Amino acid sequence: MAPGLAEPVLVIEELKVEFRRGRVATTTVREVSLTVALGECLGIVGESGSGKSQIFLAAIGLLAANARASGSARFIGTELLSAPRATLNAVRGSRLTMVFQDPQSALTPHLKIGVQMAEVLVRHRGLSWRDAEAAALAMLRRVKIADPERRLRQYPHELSGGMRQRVLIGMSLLCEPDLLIADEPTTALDVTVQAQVLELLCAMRQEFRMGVVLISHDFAVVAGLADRIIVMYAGRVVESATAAELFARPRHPYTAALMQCAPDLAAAPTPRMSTLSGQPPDPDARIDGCAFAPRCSNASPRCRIERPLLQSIGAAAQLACHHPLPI
Amino acid sequence: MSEPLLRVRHLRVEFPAARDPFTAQVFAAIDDINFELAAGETLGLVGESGSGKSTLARALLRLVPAARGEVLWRGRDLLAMQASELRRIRRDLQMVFQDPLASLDPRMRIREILAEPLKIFEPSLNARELQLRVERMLERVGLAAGLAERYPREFSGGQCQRIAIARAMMPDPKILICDEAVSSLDVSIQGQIVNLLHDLQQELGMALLFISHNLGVVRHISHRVLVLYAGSAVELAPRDRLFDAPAHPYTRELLTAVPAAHRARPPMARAQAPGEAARLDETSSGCVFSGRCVHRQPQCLASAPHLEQISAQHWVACHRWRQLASPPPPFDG
Repeated sequence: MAPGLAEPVLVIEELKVEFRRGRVATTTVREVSLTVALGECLGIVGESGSGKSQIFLAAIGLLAANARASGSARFIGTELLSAPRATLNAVRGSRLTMVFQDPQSALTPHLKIGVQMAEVLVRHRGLSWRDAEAAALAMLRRVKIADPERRLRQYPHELSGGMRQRVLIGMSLLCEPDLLIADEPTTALDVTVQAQVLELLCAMRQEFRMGVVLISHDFAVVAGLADRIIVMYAGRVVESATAAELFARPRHPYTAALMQCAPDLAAAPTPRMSTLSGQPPDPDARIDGCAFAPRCSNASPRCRIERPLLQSIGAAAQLACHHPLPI
Repeated sequence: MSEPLLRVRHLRVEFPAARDPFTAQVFAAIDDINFELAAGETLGLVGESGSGKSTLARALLRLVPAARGEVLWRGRDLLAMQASELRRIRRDLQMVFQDPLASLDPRMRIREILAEPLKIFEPSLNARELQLRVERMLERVGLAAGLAERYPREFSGGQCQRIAIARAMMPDPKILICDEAVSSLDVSIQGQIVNLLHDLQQELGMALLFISHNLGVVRHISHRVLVLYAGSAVELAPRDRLFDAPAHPYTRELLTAVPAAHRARPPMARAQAPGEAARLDETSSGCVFSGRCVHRQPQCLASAPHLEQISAQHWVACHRWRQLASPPPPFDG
């Protein structure tokens, strides 16, 4: 971390996540290190299976039962990976919260919105139910839900997808967290509702001065919000830079190709869309060189035998590529 | 344009509105939908969740009953056809769904999945011919013929969608309906599927009805675009016209909501359009979009605008399109 930046809330070092099935071990996250500072929004971009969600599921102890995480994930000085459940439970849902892709399955279907929200404050802050419900109502107002009194008494299925995601964001903010992790928070939503939810996240981040991690497969989603972006491929960080730098001058061929995949309404339409040929490697496959080499137009024989290491390029950027794009 | 393959007129689909099954109240999921689809053409169908996109697609195939209207297939009304005749025609109207894995039977091998439509529509084929057709189609959608003995779970989402497209193309349809066919895929894979559909269309000449909420993708593949809001058609225009000079306030809102991946930027300042898609309320007589529209005037609440032709092939349903018409773009260069 460069000097002069705000203190980090989350420091992940050399994180590795492995899944075991019988005698076979599949590694989904390899040697990932990153930090998130207070007030900062870190974007994590990668395709399905790149390990982008697993990093944070490992950090908050929500990995599947057959998964093992090693390395370190420190949240304001507390090591989370080896922490007992009681420590995790004190942190999760209050100072460190997460919003998931599917707002329907993240809410309990048979509990009213008001009860689910109030429960957070009763559990973590020891508030009375009456005070907790009042705070829940105030939060629904802050996340700009229309007719909040009525919503408190409704069940999740009575709300639209966009409204449910607002409720979940509100719920994740009740204890004024230091870090909010949003994993594909808008993927299930319409484009107009997506824009509203992203705006809400942006406003809340300023209001609460918390760190935000925004995970997406789509550069377009993180473009408006992230200060820094980390690009993941096959379980590894392949490039990281400030958002402005990354969009202006992507150095890794994968970053540039993935950016091109999102259609640009400002450019003239072509009958064929830009694509990345092929698909990400099978997580079980043994890879000696660069994992992206089979899909890379810049790849040389060296890329297939020698894995490029992640190296600093400038003050705030890192890159793992033998043949980066010219500046 | 040549005689259309498909002509949809005044199509309306109703669902029960009330929780109480004994009341006869209904709401219209789609109402008064009119469009044509020519051979080899791609019509994009855009709108938010609940706008009736999928209901419209299903009604065309009679997977949901229509309350009113006609679906003319080469001049004959599909909605009035006997079931036996409809079954024969269904080979010409195939569909690809959003969730590629859920739309493939997990216990069938790819070879069986692709052969099934042919067994139904061309029962005279022998085993060897079937195998040949399956292998040829697999290669055509970019999968090795050797994969035919595998099961769906052994494939990624993008590959499953290729298989679903291959299955739909097996009986050589004249129209392929794609209902959010790329929405559950990674951005990096969406382009592959869109390009595959484009290539198949160039080669085989089928018409595409491409339903998506992703305007960027729709823009690549469509010749014309129909915009739905709360079950009503609000705008229909050739692709470039719709994206360069949208006439309906809702179309404009959709376009400004699309995030751009090509530059970091602060979230765009947008016309305030609070709230979400309304259901078509039978009691209101005004414009379906009036509840959300920033340009609303008393007339918009009083009466519903009808689709009105504003230039060649460009139709819009808005009382105020003239006042709201964007000024011509400044001379560039």
